[in-house]
Amino acid sequence: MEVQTFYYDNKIVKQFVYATIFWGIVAFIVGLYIALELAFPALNFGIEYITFGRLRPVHTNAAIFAFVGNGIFAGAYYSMQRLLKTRMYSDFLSKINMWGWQLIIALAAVSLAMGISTSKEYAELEWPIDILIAIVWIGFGWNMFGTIARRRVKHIYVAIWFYIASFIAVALLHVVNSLELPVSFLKSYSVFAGVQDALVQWWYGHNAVAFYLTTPYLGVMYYFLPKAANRPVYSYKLSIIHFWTLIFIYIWAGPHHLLYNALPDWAQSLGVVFSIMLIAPSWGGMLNGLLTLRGVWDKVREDAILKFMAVAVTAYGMSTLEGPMLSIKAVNALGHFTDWIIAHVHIGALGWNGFLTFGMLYWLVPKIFNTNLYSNKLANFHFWIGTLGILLYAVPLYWGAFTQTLMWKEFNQDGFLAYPNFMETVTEIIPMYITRAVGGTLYLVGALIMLYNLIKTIQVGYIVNNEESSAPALEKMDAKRQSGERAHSWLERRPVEFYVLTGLAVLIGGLLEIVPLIAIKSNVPTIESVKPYTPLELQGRDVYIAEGCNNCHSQQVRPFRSETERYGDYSKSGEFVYDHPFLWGSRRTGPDLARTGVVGGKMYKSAAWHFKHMNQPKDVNEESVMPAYPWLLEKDIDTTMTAAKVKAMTRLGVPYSDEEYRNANFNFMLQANKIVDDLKIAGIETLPTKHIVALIAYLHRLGKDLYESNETEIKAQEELVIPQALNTSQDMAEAKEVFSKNCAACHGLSGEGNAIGPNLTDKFWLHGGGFADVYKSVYVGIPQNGMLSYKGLISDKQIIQVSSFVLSLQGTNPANAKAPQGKELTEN
Amino acid sequence: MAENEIKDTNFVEGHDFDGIRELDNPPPPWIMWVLYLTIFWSALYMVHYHVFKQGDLQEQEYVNEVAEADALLAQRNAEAQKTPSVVLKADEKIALGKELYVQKACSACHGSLGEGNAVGPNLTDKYWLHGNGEADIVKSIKFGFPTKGMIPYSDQLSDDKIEAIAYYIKNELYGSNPPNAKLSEGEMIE
Repeated sequence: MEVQTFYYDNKIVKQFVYATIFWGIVAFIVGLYIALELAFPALNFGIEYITFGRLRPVHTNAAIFAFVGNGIFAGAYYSMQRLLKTRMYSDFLSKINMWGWQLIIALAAVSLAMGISTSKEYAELEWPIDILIAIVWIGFGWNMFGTIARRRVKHIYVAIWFYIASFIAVALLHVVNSLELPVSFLKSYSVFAGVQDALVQWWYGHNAVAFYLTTPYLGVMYYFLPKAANRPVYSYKLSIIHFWTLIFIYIWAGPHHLLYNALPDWAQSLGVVFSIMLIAPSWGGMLNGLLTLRGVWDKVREDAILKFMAVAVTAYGMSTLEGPMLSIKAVNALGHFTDWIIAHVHIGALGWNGFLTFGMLYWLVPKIFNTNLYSNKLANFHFWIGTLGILLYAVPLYWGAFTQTLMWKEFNQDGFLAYPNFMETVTEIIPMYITRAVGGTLYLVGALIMLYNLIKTIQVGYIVNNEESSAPALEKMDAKRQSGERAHSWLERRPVEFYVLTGLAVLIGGLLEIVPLIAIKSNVPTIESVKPYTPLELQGRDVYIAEGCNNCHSQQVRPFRSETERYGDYSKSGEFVYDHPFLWGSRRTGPDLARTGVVGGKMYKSAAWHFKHMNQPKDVNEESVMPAYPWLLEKDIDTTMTAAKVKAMTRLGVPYSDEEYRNANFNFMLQANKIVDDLKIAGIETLPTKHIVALIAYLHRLGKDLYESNETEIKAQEELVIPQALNTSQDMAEAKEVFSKNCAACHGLSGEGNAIGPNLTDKFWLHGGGFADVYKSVYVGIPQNGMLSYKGLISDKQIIQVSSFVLSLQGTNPANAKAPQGKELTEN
Repeated sequence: MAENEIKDTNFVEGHDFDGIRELDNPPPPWIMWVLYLTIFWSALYMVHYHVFKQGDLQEQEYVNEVAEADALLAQRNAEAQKTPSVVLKADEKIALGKELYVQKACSACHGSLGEGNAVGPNLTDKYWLHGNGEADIVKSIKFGFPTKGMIPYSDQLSDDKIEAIAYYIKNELYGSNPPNAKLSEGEMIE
């Protein structure tokens, strides 16, 4: 067999290594900064570009796509060439991959800080960058497939299976989740709305974890761990089983991010069971890694590289058990919207991704620079300080999360929320935020030590950009399975078939969840009263998105009494049909905002309150950790875009009339001026085009459509003045007559109650039993229960008399009294 | 090193990837059992909830939760009824009202001394927007003025606690002349 000589491209590996280190440190610094902002909001310095809401996506994108992303490319470009015994297919594509990716990251950092965002988590980038990502990613895949086609090795090794699955799945996820309609060069709306958008987003979001943070790194593990340990992989069979089960099952698990949300139950249940079924496939990877270290555990004790890898694999095992546990609905009810999730993902990110990257870099850099690591001692120190950093990061966050979620759910003796003031539950966990930041600092220090160690290593080494190697040419293979050849063995030498099967495996779950949700109408029951946003509210919604409010505030009340008592009615899927994109959020650093528009609801705040709160939250809530947003009072809405936004929404199926489109700005100003007038009464001067006005309009709309009819009733109630009771015998006599004419039909002649109305003679009251309560019930009525408002039906004096009369019935014990209803009135 | 060195013999034939070899070990049996059991459990779960429709899904769970809470509260009220209720003395009522005034963050909008601020009105002067009888104040706290930003406290506080706050406002804050008092709003009530 002819032995061929070829050259590995080490330069591209080196570039990705540098990028990994650089962006890793950037991601850690930004992460640390926003962690500190939560504890010390003054760190925002009144600068709009560095609020938590803007920087949080910078941090997550930097950690995922810049740090881990470049880590994937460094690992894949190095290992693929050697596993396939060939140079990368195209130097040009390699360069496009390298520089295109760095360009994307730079654009991401700048655009996100500027508030250019789609709001969808880990997919916040706007459409031009999305297109760029698709191009570069496909360039990577093309380069990989080309390399595989030119290989000099018969079978494709398991590491490469994982690279293949990652490429195919991420391409699919990215394209579908980024389907958006551009409004302008820097603004687009998701083509999906509400519940459907939520499902697509979390199908993507969850599988960004699966196919970006997990499978490529399993590929990296399968190359670098046996290399560094100099041990054979423990079980080839386990590789096969856990690869296929992992990629097939993972894609289904997305709905576990939406448990107890307004997602149909069947989809939630699929999310639960597929998450539980993920335990074994994930642990298969961990076991194959740890068992490969069998026999070299004494080496692990001394060697920093193996230590990093062993802890990385263990962290992977921990978080892939914790994930399924969090997908059990009862556990999720506690963990969702809390820092538990943040702690959970950081076990994965810092432990699995971070430590595996560090292990790989300590092994790889000396290798390509033909030298030894400058200092093993420093590497070991990095390991210990990093491990301590992870512990100090995660433990306080878990603690804080349990504390907070229990406070959210606690009721007191009287049956009210024990901590109705959300702020109390935040103040309680600030010390944990500070400790967490200490952990983050240690982790960052470790990375800086690594930077120093690697620079020192590189300084004494030298790199061979094109490293010579040789291997026998690949002999012609028969496409058919040979006798005695096992099916999977055959598949490993048939890349195209492998791609197709992998594609099918990752396609099925998504198709079977997303398509029915979109196609079957009954999945999202229509609510007649839900109407599209007004042009002003639409603009306000875009302010909300640009400021990244969804990074701290959810818009999803779950069907728990502790939430409906705090926020109002739980969210219904039909409420979100015009939400392009959905804004349910995933973390409640601040309270839920789903019902801020319900006048008389628990979350309603006046326009003046919002205005002052945005200008300086501490003015209305001394302990608030929300940054001040004074620029919202200064900046003007770009009203030239109003009509275009309405038009874009129309094209996405939101039923605006032609008139609404043509008069978009007219209606905008009409509504804005009302808010300006409203603010003026409270002594606040502003202009209708300011960001704050649009944002108030939006917040005053949220969750309101279900309650349209309530407003007049509430106004009446507000204007109600409680008079003095009229208790003379004359009054009683008159009242008795009025009572028998008007009230007896439902409450009985003696107030004993009947099938319609409650008993008025016992101590149990549905709407309060004080004079003020009864007066209010008679005056305003309780229309939803059939009790009319008697204002205007009888004279005002008669209302007072009859209310007094009702109270005089207390304790009369009439015959046929109806069973008690409502709360018992206690004497005091 | 030598004593715990493992002699591997069962390599997968023909698999040598850049020096990495693979063993033909079977997967640890227990992990396969975990796989089978979780699949079995998942099938049961889906059948239980979505085929036989046993087990409560979230909306029913919520209905149950609310019913349970209502029953519990009714029972608690009945028990409370049996024990003679404590009538608070004036100073106790003021102390409780003051405590609640702080705890419920009334000060966020009305100032810590009732002097009022940019959001809420002054509670110490003779000018009142919604009346200053104790019953008026009780009503204001209880039902709120949602469109003006005063939330209803009827779902956070029991009646006796609302009365204690009203009592504190009327008997302690009212007429106290704190510094930085907000300009008067509403009608003068002597």
